[in-house]
Amino acid sequence: MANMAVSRIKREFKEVMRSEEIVQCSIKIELVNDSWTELRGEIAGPPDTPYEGGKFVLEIKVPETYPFNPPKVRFITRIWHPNISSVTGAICLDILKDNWAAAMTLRTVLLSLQALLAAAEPDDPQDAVVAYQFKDKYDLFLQTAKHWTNAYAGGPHTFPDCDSKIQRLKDMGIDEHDARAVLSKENWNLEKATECLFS
Amino acid sequence: MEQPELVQSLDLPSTSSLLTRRAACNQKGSTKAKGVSLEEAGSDGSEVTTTSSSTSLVGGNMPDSKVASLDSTGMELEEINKGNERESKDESLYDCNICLDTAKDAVVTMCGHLYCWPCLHQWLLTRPNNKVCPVCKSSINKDKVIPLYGRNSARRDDPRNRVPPRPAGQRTEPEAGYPNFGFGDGFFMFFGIGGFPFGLLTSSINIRERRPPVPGRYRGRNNGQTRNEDEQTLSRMFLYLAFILIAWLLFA
Repeated sequence: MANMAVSRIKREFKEVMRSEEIVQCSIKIELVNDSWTELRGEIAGPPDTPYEGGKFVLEIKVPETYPFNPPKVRFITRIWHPNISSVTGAICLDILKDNWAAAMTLRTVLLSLQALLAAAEPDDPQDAVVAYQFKDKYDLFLQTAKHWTNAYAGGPHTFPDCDSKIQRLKDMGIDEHDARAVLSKENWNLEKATECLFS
Repeated sequence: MEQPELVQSLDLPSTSSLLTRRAACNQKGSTKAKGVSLEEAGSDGSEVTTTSSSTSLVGGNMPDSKVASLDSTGMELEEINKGNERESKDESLYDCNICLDTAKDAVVTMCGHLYCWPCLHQWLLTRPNNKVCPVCKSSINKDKVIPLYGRNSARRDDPRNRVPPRPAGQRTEPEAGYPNFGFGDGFFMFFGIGGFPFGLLTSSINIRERRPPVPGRYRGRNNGQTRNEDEQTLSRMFLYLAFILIAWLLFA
């Protein structure tokens, strides 16, 4: 079976390489090791979303039982999204769990993830904090997501206000990532964030 | 993979069959639409040979003397064409949807999706509670997949025995909810509270309901229609009986 997993991954790899998405630079895939069990994917943030202009890197682990069981996929690039953990990058997507079908491929998985970025599902969250912000303070969510895209995925939108707040916390000796995470969680309220960090 | 066969059936010298097959691969590898290239190849034998001009052969009927020159360049050509063959294989219409290779022991589901039987079997084993087609998520069943026998498939032993004629693609949603409270065709079960006449009434009303036709079961037998008529008369009789009973209850 392991043999089948490898031969299928090889085919899928070719399929992605020949697909038109690669021409449009919207998805990418590369090998991590020679045994074809671990790959690295990359998806572009879809247009008209806060993730536009960003490149998000994914870790793809292919189980021995592939394609009968789904690949294990996780975001390496940090991202602010209701269905993706802002801490671990774990993804909540049905096709990567119960709704996996053996006819799905790496290409369809990457495209599904791109679709997930465009259509968040806050009622079935992976990151409850992000989902709450998405539902409660949507404008702030957009700003935070754009800021994260800029900070981690090379997105175009900068927010001097956010940067200055992060700098303030950094001056207090806080790690930049931690500062960003806490501020995002506390809706960019510096006082609350400080309280949260030092209490 | 019917294309090579078709080309081979042209009246070319026998030794050239290898070449023509390669030529067919070349054509398939090109950007031309499949149907068009097939027609071209079929219309004129010389067309086929000219596409393989890299072998330094001039088109037309191949004289045997020139076949030798093919062999000298054959090795190189073979390598090129292996690549082409591979590529055309990747785009094949007859690839298993699970292993993505040409389907071995091919079976097709009722929804029309092709698999290797070992692949599909493994998939069904992986999801014993949720047997759905990996492509369209239609509900599938081991007993309802159809094996496909190509002309040259050596193994004829059926993974599952019966082979009904291949039907048109039909899509059914996965079963959800509770099964009907009924036992097959023609028998319904009722739950109810009430005295005898009311019970009778409910049953007669139920019998009046038209039963959905059972596909396949009575097809081909003529008694289906008469049966239905008999039932309707019977149900009407019971209904009248029920009314009489009610009237009797009211006026007595």
